[in-house]
Amino acid sequence: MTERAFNFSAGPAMLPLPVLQRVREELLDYQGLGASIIEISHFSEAFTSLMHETEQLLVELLEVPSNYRIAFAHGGATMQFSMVPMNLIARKPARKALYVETGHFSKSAIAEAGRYGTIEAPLSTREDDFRSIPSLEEVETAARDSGASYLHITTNNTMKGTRWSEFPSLGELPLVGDATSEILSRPIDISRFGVLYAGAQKNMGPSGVSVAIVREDLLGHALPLTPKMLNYTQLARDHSLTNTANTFAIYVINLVLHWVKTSGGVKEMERQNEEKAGLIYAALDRHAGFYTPHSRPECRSTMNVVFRLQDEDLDERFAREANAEGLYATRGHRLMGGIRASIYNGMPSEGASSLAGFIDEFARRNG
Amino acid sequence: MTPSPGKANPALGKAYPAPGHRVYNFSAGPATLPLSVLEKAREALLDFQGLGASVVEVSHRTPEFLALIEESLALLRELLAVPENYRILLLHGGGQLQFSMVPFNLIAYRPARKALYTDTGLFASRAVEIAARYGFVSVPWHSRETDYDRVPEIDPAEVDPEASYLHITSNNTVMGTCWHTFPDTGGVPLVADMTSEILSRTLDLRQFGLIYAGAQKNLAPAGLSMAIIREDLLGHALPETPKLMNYAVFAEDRHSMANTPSSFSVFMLRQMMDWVKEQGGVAALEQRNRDKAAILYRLLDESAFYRGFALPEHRAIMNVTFDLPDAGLLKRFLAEADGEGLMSLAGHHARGAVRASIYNAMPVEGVQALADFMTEFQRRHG
Repeated sequence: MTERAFNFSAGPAMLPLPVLQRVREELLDYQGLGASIIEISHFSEAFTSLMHETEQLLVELLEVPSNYRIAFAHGGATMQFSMVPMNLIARKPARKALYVETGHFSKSAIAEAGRYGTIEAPLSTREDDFRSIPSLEEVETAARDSGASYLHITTNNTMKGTRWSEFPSLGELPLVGDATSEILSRPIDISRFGVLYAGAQKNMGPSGVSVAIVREDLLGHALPLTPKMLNYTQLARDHSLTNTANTFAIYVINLVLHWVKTSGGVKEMERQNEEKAGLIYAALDRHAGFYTPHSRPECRSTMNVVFRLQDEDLDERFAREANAEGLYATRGHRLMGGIRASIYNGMPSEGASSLAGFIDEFARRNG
Repeated sequence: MTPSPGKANPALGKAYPAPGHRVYNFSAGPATLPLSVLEKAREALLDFQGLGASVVEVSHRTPEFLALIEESLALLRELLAVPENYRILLLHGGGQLQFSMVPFNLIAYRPARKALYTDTGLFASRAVEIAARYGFVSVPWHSRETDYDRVPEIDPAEVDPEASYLHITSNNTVMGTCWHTFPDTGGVPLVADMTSEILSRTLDLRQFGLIYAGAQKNLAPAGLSMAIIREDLLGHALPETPKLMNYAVFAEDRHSMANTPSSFSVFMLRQMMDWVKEQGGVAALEQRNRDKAAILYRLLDESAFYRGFALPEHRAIMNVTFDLPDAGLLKRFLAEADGEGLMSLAGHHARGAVRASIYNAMPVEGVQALADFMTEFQRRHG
């Protein structure tokens, strides 16, 4: 077996080794049942209790208030781009929603929502090549008296390497956050959000599943065409077992949540993530001019470190040589180019320090 | 690995196989998988193709992962003899998400926005209920009056030519019935939910406009579904169709991806297709499946103790349903079977009784073990 690489993939992404080892150990026989976890009914006692525990762990780790419900759904965050408007846009008669455009995925969310109502994106950092996040004041002003059903933000922008460090206060207007690439990486005050959702394949587990945390009073407004499996109210009522769940993904999410808990919880994840990101940004800043981080310093993501070298040839050489050193998948998104190091919870600090060392060394050799 | 005899676990109060031993698992889905496929998954869990990363940790855009998809699509095309003018789509969710996808994509195929459904059991009626949100749905054919012990006959002359499609559930998992031959629907596209029987028997896909299947019986673990659609049926989706539920969006992509798929399911699909091929393909599996089902149906026919549910000429090959003389015996049957390493024989909760799901991955030995147990149980209690 090849030695395990430090895997900087943006998602599906590196998972904690103990989780993968556990999956491997019990893949043929789950808890002595004589069958694999992926071979048993989602209605079996073994699976329903696993599902219940997974929900509870998420509530505990994210300190989800009691007036919120958890809904796991098929299909990742892109499915949530449809689910959010289908479930929320009819809250107000204007059927209008506000979106803040801060990168590729917020654009996709806007395009999808357009099928279901009037979408306005009064705030965008496009002019700034998505290096920044709008100020909270701008957002709060745009939201005031808008008559909208909700306002949507992307809390961490995977491709651009920016994030919202703080969240706007919108009064009555529900704030909806796509936290796909940063859920469980830092404490987030759920009570600031009407809905917070995330695809699983960065910090939670394998791809194919997403989770939405929905404030109860926002349930019950789904458009009539909303499929059952996309309806938050239905999913919450059925504890996400409206149909056969992606049982493998839920099982691995359960193990990852246990791992987060025994590792010290979300606060400890944040400490480690700041340390990991700090090492890499410091290395980039030591060679300013040779490396150019995409994000403005005050908007830097702790999950995705995005930067460029002086030209595409150097980018390519960097990624190739890094790979040879066991630093896998550092190429930027295919639409973005450059380098992207995704350092989710599953990336150990040795991975971040190895990359920081490689950044120094590559600059010395080529600068 | 063969199942071990059950050993009592006092803590659980039930018979319990020794750790690491596999039982014969008759679960209706998620269902038993071939051991060799699970072993391949185990290998790829820590290191996929020497990348130093797990198959669930690599991007769906890596050449290694794209190859998995290309190979899966090619094998599916070969194994199911998919004609050139049909597209194979890998989609999110399972069969029930397709209950919405079908009308989203097809109800507007003809201006009347009418769809014809057949009601042959629990999932067929759910499909009807969901489709009704999207257009004018009627159910001219059903077997409700005989408690779903059969599938109805469709007279081609009664098929409304203005309908956008006609939907059947080709195998009824809960009831244990199936369509052994498919209706002639003239110019109305025939749509079939093949969730619980895909790859279990050979098909002439040209009879269908669209077939679909949730993965968790014969294809792969849960979280994935597949659709095979005739090209001329693409492009009629309602404007409200979510991007990830629009067949055309997936058809446009060579790898049938519109976002990150359930990558573990895709990996497993690839391994399953290899396994199907190793077994000799769909025709060989069909023969084996017919032999497996015949073992149980022969026993039911010869028994006055067990009561088979489906009419003989409508019996499913994948799900064998039957009842015992009373509730006490049923309970005892299920508990004792479990103790013998014959797992998950309880019928669907909406139905009760016994259901033995004997999908492709269930070996003949498993079915024979069940038949032996049934004979012995009848001897003791009959």
